[in-house]
Amino acid sequence: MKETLIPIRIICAQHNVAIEFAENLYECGLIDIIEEQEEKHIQEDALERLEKMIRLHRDLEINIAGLETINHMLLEMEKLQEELRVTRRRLYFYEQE
Amino acid sequence: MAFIDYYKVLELDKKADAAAIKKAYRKLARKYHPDVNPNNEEAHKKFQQINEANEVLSDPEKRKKYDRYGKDWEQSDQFHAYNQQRAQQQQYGGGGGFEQFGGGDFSSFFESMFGGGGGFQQSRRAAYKGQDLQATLPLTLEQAMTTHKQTFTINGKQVRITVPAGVEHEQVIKLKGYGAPGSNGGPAGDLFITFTIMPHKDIRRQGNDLYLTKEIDLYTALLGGEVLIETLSGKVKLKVQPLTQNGTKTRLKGKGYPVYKQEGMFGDFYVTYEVKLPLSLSDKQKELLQEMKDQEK
Repeated sequence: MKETLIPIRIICAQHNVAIEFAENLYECGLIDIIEEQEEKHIQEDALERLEKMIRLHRDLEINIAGLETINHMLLEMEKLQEELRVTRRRLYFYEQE
Repeated sequence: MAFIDYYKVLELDKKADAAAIKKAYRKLARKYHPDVNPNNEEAHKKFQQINEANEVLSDPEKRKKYDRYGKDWEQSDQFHAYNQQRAQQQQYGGGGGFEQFGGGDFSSFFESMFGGGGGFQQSRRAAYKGQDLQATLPLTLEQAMTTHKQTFTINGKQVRITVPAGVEHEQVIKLKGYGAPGSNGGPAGDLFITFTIMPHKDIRRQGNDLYLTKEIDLYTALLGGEVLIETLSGKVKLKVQPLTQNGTKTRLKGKGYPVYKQEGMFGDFYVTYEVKLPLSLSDKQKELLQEMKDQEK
């Protein structure tokens, strides 16, 4: 199945941010950019992530380095929450005994 | 509709200047921004309050009005106009909608003092995804072992889901767009359903394997025999070998729990024998056992 691509130009225009902002995110490895027919795109499932970065940058004036840190910490938090879920599941098993 | 102390919300005193307000807003907004607090309803509410407080206190006109009326805000002209508008909405069946937390709207208190949001800087009112909702769906061990449909109502909406066989205890599934509506054109939130598997009276589950402890009497343990066990899918007759020790484990391959989203695959069913000694013996039994004991010497 062909993935849906969204031009970065359109997203940035809608959110009133410069295209360079998205390019900087790409350079830091925070998003993936796909170039097709001389136009830069992101995959549809990465849209939520890009919009989140734009909101954090615009609302809280967080720069790229800050976004990298936040992204890293949110991933860590998700990992810990998953570990907590697994541990609770194990505990539940022993509590049944 | 309660009075909201915007100074308290931003942790400021009433003499705070514009720079202090801006600084306090930045500090708290960074702490409670919805994007850095995923699935945290409290943080979302707090962020809404901070935004509202900042809208008022950072605007000299609004701040003047707020300071003038203070706790007597019900005396303001806008409050009367708001009340009239609300009465008309109720008369014609229109929904107010401000009481419900949606992630980015303002409180009734704000609306009553400053109107329905006109005159705001639109660029500040960013589109936010609606609040994510959480629901718990309890299932029995028997229910969770077959793929079936469940219908329930959440937030006034009827939701019908297919529960795949083999879901785990505390497993979470996400239904995109089934949460609260978004604000300022943002998408609806998601609905997270957590399955809780209620404990079975006899059978324990670990992953895809099932465990049962079966009591057998001394004579069956010594001489062998048959026992009837109850699995989740029915009764099964098991052969007990002679001289079965207490704690002996038997595996019934493929008779365990279905593997999640892998049709035709099942875990195993383990039966542990627990040998029960008799609580009383007849004279004849005592005599025979004594004879056995003597033979052991």
